[in-house]
Amino acid sequence: MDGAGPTIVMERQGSDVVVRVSGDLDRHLTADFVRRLMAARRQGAVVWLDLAGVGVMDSMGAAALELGCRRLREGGQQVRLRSASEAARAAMRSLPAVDAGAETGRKTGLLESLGGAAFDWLAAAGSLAQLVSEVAARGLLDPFRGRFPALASSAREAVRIGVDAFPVVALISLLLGLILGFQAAHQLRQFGANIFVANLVGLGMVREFGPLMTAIILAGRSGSSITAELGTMVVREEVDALRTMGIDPVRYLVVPKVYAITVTGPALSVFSMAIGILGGFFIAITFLDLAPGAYWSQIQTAIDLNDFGHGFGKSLVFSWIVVIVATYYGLHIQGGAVGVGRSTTASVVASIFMIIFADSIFTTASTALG
Amino acid sequence: MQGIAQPYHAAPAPRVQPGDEVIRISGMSAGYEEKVVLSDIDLEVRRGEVLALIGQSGCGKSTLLRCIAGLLEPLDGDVVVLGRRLPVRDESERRKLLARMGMVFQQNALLGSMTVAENVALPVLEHTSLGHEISRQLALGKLVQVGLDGWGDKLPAQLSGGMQKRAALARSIALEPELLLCDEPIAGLDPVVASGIDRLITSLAHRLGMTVVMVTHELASIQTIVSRAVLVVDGRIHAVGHPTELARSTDPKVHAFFHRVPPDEAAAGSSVIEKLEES
Repeated sequence: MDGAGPTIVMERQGSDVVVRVSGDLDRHLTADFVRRLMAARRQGAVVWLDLAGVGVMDSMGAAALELGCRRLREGGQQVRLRSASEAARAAMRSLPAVDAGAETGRKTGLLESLGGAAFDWLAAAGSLAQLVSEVAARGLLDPFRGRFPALASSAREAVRIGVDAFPVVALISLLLGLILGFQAAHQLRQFGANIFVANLVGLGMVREFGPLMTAIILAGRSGSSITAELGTMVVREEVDALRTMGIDPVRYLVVPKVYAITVTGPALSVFSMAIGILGGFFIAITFLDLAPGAYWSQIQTAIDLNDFGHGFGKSLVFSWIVVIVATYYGLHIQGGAVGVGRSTTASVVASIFMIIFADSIFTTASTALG
Repeated sequence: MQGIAQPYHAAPAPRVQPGDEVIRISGMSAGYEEKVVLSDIDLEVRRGEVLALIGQSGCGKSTLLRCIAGLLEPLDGDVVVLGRRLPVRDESERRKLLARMGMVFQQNALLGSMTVAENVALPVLEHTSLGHEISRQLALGKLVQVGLDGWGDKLPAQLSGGMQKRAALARSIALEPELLLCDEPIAGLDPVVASGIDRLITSLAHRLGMTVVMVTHELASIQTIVSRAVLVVDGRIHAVGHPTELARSTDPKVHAFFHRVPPDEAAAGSSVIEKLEES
């Protein structure tokens, strides 16, 4: 076997064509073999295969030959065996002839795909709404029924979701404050309005960037972790085990996380606001030569309770979005370990999208209401 | 010793009397999304039986077990377990029913974030007011019963496959259930460990007066510990009887299962050469 590939010789015999294949038909074949066989297309009503010259042949060679023959048959030609070596017969006997094209299924058109996607989206929205209602029922109503929340597990979740996120939130908020301050300073200095850097940084962090960046960090850090944890539990049948023990998975797994993020999400946001304002302060006193007292005085003038309430309210809603979306994707995992990875990514993307969507609604409503 | 040696139930519940039905299934069909996996299932399981659901992979055995456990709602028909018709919509009634059942999953399904003892104590904490200390005491006792003395404070990942299976069994019997469901309890275990698990299930069943329904295709288990076997073929019940009787059956499908007859190779379809020669 010299690696040059089998030779194919074609000869017309009346209205038929004889295809003589010589050489080895084994794993060293390339896809070009089938293309070369297709030269017999429309050369005759019947294609006679002469495989007497085939040396080594295995199931890979048989599969390539079967594919070529199938394509010739689809073109309306008959394919028959004239002769074959023992090796060729043995290889062709060992491999079932399967219609490989039938396995891929029917192709769906664009409208059908869009319709299917719309139905899937509606079903997902329904499942999400159901999860929200179950969480609300367990989280809000259970205490009135004498079923008190598992405070120990809520506290553990608060540490995992929130407390452990303080360092990264602090760092990113400080950098954000520095960036905001620097960008503002660059413009305001041209107009001699240096003092308003406090307004820009303060209002920006309190009303928008504090809650928004905190929520995005929570989605990427804590949301992905929640999805992976719950998804793995689903794959390992642990969620089913809870159900068979009469333990409601929503009450046991989801509600403690909701309690935890209700406390830690807004706390992290307030922390982010403060650190971001501090970042702006560094820029104000170093780059703009503002007096420290002037900066803090201006911050107090610019930010009122209404602004703080706006930011705090957003942070609460964003936190709930993170935990609900993460638990939804975790509890609806499909496809084993691969599904866990896929769902983790999807939950982060969906969370961020919904956070920004919610932010746009908040901002529009706040502007409209003055 | 009160609260541990005696059978305990979270709330008064009607117990099935000796000899009567623990499970009654009539005309049931079940499936996933658009695929029907089980059709026309009629089955009764009496108290004290050790019943095996047997059959080839993919025949619907685990689906049937999940229907009995209430994890899958049937598409049609009736499923009555311990006198309750499934699904039980009322949450309180459903919890009471589930407290009378235990289930061992094929992959054990131990909660990885909890120690073995915490896993075993979980259903006790959930369904009783015994508190943490007594629940832990009970859990450690159950672990001794299954041969895991001293392993209570380990995490499930620190146990071997056979030990995890024992821990899962301990958790499933923590509330001394009337009905124990096992999904392939000895799958993947070596013959020695598997034999130990079989013996454990039988002795616990006798000691606690449990009815056992297990999904298995291990012939050794079927022939040593099972009092009745149900052969499922293509989603339907094909044969029911004592394993010894079924092993002597001349029915081709029953014979093939019990005597490990492989499927006919001709059923695989034409080969490449046959297709060329038939053209």
